[in-house]
Amino acid sequence: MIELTHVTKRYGTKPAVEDLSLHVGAGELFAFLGPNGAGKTTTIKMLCGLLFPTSGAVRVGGFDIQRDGDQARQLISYVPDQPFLYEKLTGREFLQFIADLYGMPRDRAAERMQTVIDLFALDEFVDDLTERYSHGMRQRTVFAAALVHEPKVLIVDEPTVGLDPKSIRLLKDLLRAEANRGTTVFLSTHSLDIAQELADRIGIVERGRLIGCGTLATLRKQVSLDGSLEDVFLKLTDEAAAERATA
Amino acid sequence: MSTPVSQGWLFQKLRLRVARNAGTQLLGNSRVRLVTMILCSVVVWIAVYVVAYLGFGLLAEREIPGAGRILELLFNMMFFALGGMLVLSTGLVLYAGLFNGAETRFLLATPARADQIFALKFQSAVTFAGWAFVVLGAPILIAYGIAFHAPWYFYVLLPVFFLGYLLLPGSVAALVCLAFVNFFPHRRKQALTVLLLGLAALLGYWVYRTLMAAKAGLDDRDQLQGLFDMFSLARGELSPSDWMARGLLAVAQRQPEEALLPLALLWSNGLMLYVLAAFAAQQTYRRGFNRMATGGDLRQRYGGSWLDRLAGWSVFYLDRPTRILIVKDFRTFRREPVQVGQVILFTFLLLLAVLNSRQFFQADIPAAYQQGLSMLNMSATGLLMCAYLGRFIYPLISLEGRKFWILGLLPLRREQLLWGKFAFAVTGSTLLAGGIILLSDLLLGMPATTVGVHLFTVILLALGLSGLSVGISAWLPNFRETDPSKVVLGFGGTVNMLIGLGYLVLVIGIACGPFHAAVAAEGFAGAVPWWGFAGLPVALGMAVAATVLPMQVGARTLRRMEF
Repeated sequence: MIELTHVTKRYGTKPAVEDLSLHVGAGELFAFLGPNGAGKTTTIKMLCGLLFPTSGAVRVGGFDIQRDGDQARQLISYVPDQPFLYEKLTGREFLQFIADLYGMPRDRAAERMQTVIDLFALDEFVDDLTERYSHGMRQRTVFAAALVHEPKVLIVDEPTVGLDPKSIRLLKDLLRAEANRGTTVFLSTHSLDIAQELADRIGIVERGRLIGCGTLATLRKQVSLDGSLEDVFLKLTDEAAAERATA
Repeated sequence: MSTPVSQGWLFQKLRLRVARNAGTQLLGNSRVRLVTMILCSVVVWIAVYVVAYLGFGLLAEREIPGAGRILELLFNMMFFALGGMLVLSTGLVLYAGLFNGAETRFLLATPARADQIFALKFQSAVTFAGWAFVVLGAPILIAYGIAFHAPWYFYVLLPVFFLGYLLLPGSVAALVCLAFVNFFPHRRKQALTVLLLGLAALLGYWVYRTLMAAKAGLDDRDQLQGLFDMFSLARGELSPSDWMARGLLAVAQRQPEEALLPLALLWSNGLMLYVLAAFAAQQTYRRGFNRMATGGDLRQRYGGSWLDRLAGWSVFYLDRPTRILIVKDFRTFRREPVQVGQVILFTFLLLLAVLNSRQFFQADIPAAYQQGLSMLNMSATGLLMCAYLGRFIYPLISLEGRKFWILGLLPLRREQLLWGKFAFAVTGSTLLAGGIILLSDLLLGMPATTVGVHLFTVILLALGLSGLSVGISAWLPNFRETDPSKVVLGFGGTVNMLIGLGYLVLVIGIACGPFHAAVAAEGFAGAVPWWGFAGLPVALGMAVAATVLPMQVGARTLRRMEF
């Protein structure tokens, strides 16, 4: 469903992503990990077509994101770390706008809107202007909007920031359920326990390079360590840094 | 089963819904704000109308030979200047909307088509930039219509002409904007500077030639023709300002058939350029966004600038911590291209008006007109100070927003923050407005006493308006808002604007009114009697009150503030 082939992205002369090749299948929950400035958000922005690769190709659902971007984006929902809501729209109006933007027929849209309103318990405030929402209410509304049009690919950047434990639990269950339903979930996070708990496969980037990719067992084998994901992550990134220093 | 809606219709619906919700909110919760905004617009509108009506009335009454040509030239110049300003202001707003906004980033990650996002942003930018054009242009043209007894359909066709004309500069601005980000992603600032300098040089040369021609006198028909020829750029048959001027004059003169071609030219060219811009956006907008976002280094390096040092030096009389805070505010301001663009635009407009007010009448301007013009320039400069301080200084406290705890924990008394911003506002506005008034009065050949009274009034205005802007901003802060223009439009900003305008009118009336009346009473010659200066101490008292009272209230609120 997601395919990156030898993707390199440079900001001026500085590389942010280097020769990244990756394939994420339908119904897979893929966790994308890396230290700050590793290139995670740049990769996500290329997946959504906000940025174009300097070289290489990005394909989503078989569509080249640069050539057939509109078709590719029709399959995607992107929830950024700082999500956007129209302050002067109510939650319901925002959901309707998203349903219309993705070309959903009216009756199907109404049905799906009610489903996500119930799922995220938006009922109490869905008819208030979003400018009055708390952080948690905003986050729930954004996720509801992301799922209302039944995307094939859900891209999520740091979804748990500022959420209380109950909301985090709800979110984790939801991401797993989406993957089980066949949606490809691409999750970028700093939270290693969430990645360990949820992900089918984990990719670790450091300075724009993919230094490890696979199941937790594969990664453990790669670094010859039988510890937690945190231990594996730290060892992999330390080794990569040491290798870079000696090169 | 219903069918999905088209994107174009969807974005129109979004815009209408956002406007409807904002309107309902404004009517329900912010009636004071709404009434204030309407009142201010009406006051500006009436003022422009009265001045224009007096001028047109004079022209109609005297039956001056060649009045038709003079009017055509005046309208040409007005629309040419407004068109130039519209290109700049629409370009600035569009650039910020297309490449800098959170909404843009959101929409670009959805299946929204590039040309549809462009159309949405284009409409916002043209509406925003065109508002001033309508508020200023409509009263002038209505005054003209009434003074020259234009038929009813002149007033009906006015908005049709206006709308058609707005499309042209808006589309040119959009094309320039797209070209810049696509072709000069690394050197946008430099390319823009070269373009603006080039335009300024051309304009400067043209102004110089025109002034020289006007100075040489207009004694005969050939010389008058020579002066008219200087405006050939604006008056050419291919110039949109000419289409506007010719079309509107033809309608006013009851020759609607003559107006058809100019109107058709306006709309067809405007729409054609808009379609071209939308096509260019479809092809290059996403690429431009990508180039803009990644054109430079991953982490762009910003360093100190001589401008920061100049800002720090201009408030040399303050202690170091306060100076550092001022430089921080200035640095934040100068890195925001839209704000800097607005300052340059309005200053340039006022300078142009000041320079023109003298030079076209060099030959033998009567003393009464000299005094009147100097008073008019004083009022315009005061209005500019009020707008600048309200727009740029007022939001400073609110913009500290969620970062306020940093300032709250600094080893500074909180009042120091206020007095620092006050000192910066007074220094900056006095230097800018004082310079303009000095230039204006010297060009008009005003006596030293008049220059002195005007400069004193500028200082009083700077003190009072700065005190009001800083004091009220601390008294009624809006820490939730991050957009300075929205802070200005909030309740506190509206209160500040209203009180500021009242203060401006009172101070100019009390300080300058008696003085100019005394000069007139003495027949514009001889010494000014004592009562001509009687308003100055009263105005000084008002300035002290307008400075101290809001600053004290603001400081008290700031001291009690929890973060």
